[in-house]
Amino acid sequence: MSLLIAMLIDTWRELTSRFLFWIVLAISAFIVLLLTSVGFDETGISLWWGLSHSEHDLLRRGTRNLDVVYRAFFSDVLVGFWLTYAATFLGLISTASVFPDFLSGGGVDMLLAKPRRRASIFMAKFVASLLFAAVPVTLVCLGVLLSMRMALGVWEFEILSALPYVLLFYSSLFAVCVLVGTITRSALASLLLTVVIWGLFLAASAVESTAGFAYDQIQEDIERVQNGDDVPKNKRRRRGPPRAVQVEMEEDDFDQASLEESAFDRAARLESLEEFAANAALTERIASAIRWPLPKGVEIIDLMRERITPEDDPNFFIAFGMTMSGQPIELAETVGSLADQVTDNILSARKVRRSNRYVIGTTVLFQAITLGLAIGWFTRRDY
Amino acid sequence: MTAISTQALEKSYRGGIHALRGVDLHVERGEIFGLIGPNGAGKSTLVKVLLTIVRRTAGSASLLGQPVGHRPTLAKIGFLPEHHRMPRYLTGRQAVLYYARLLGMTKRERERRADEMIEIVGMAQAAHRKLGTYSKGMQQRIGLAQAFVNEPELVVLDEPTDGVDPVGRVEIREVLLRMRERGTAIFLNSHLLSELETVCDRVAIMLEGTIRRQGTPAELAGKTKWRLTYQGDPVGPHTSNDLSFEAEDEEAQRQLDLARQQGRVITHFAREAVSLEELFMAEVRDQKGDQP
Ligand SMILES: Nc1ncnc2c1ncn2[C@@H]1O[C@H](COP(=O)(O)OP(=O)(O)O)[C@@H](O)[C@H]1O
Ligand SMILES: [Mg+2]
Repeated sequence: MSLLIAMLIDTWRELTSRFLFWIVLAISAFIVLLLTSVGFDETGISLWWGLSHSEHDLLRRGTRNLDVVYRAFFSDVLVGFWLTYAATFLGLISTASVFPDFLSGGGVDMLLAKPRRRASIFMAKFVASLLFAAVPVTLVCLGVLLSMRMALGVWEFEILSALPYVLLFYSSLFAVCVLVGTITRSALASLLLTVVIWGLFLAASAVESTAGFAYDQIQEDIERVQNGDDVPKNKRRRRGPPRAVQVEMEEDDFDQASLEESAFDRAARLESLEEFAANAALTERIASAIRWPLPKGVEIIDLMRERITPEDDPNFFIAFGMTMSGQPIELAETVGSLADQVTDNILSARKVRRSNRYVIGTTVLFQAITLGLAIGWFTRRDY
Repeated sequence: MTAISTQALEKSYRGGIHALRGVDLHVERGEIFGLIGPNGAGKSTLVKVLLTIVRRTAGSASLLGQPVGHRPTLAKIGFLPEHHRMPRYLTGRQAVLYYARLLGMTKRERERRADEMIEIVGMAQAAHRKLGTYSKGMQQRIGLAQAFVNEPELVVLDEPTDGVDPVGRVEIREVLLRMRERGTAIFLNSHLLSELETVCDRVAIMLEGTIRRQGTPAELAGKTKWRLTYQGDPVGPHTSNDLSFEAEDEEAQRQLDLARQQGRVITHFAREAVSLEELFMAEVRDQKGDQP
């Protein structure tokens, strides 16, 4: 315990002696300030803590538009972008050098000669750096809580439940950063490699969901072909230019002969679609297998967002755009869910059926293994 | 009671550097023991093995009667590594307190001992400045303060006077003598012979990973050095009336008798300490002779 306290105090002093830490803190404080500068009353929006006020029919206290827009903002912009990417990246930047510095020759000697286990020293330092990296994120979460209270008049304590998820997500990346930092003892190398590895995690998950999405679409197509729905009686096909060309061709010579031919065509198409589907399924399975031991960043972020907005709420930009042009929120919801199918889907909306326990469990496992490797390296090597 | 004891201690680093090749060493409690050797001899490696910073490859070693790696024993030891780098963002006092905390000292003890040691090393004035603003000599003093903060039974100092100006060196030496009076055993490393000569009770000479000689400076000398001065012309084989020579006791007496038989008035006749430098250089010369 005294070891952890010593490391907490020391890491705090170390971080606060760094310019970078204060910059990250200042950016976070600035965001909070901006968030709280916007308020709503019965007649409209007030900006800059009430310095300017503009009336608005839909964006005022008590409207559903306001509620949906505001929540979408937090879910899509603050969690989806700020906490997921920006805050995590800033956190990594401001703590990437903690371990390499800690392990530098002449510094670590003095610690190792103390009556402490090496593994304990390492873990205490890890926990301490993790806690302080969480300071800016916590600040933003508290700021969100406060500004929601000011804007919507409710205390959304659910927001705070995002914190453990943010920490879990961040710590799995930080563990990678620490592992690389322990081996290379270079802050720059550990930061760069962590970002690259993070990119690979994201790529693996994008491949997985894209392949899954493709598989679902192809299955629908196969069904249509089997039911004979693909014979173009109408123009409701909206996917893919080659298909559209084909459709028009078929429409041109629509007679008995071509009907026969199309039965033959159908069999060939069915075959190629099934082959395509099999490939998509295989790709998805391989990507899933690769992702099994990796942190489930995308899923964790979704877990967080679900706590703020119902899943079928429209995207912030749609909700905000429609509201500003005076449309009721129901329209935004319809448009939003349509748009979601096209855009959002491709990256993440095809929710891979995974339980929270699986998502959190595998992520924690990944982190434990990564840290285990780092500790193993740290305790075995000569300094 | 032994403070440090090693038997056939060996260390090979990865990459095949055989830094220690069977080191046998004995340091008693309450003495100041100096280890000299040129750069790369393995002095720092020996210290690191003793303090668990580096793992030994073979042999055995104990500190204060306990095998190396016994954690409670480490709490009774003070250490200042070579090229140490204490956190620059701490003040001198914070640094001493930080290491004291890692040693598991209670808050009251930490503060009392830290202030006392900072006073002893003469850093009371600058104790509240950041280490980053200190000169090398000041950092070294804070390093000494933290090494002694736990009233250790044994202190290990790796090149404690490295990079310190002559005034600072004398002061550091005084601190060491003062600490020995309290019964602390001090083990120090240096490649600077003159450093050790004046403070050490016993010394060992290390070359290429082995201890070549070990004992009091006088023991090491084997032959004692004498100085004989008399009035008048040199007698017999003497080249001068002010002689300095190495000889056994009887041989020295014979030289004295020679001068007296010739009626010379003896003005000075005494044993002189052999300088470590001479011993050391003799070893290095032997070494070179071994492998032409
Ligand atoms: N961490 C290390 N890894 C590999 N070789 C090392 C390491 N530390 C020291 N050495 C080598 O071991 C030998 C002894 O070094 P050292 O113990 O530092 O000598 P000294 O302190 O007497 O100058 C040198 O050849 C040095 O290059
Ligand atoms: Mg050395």
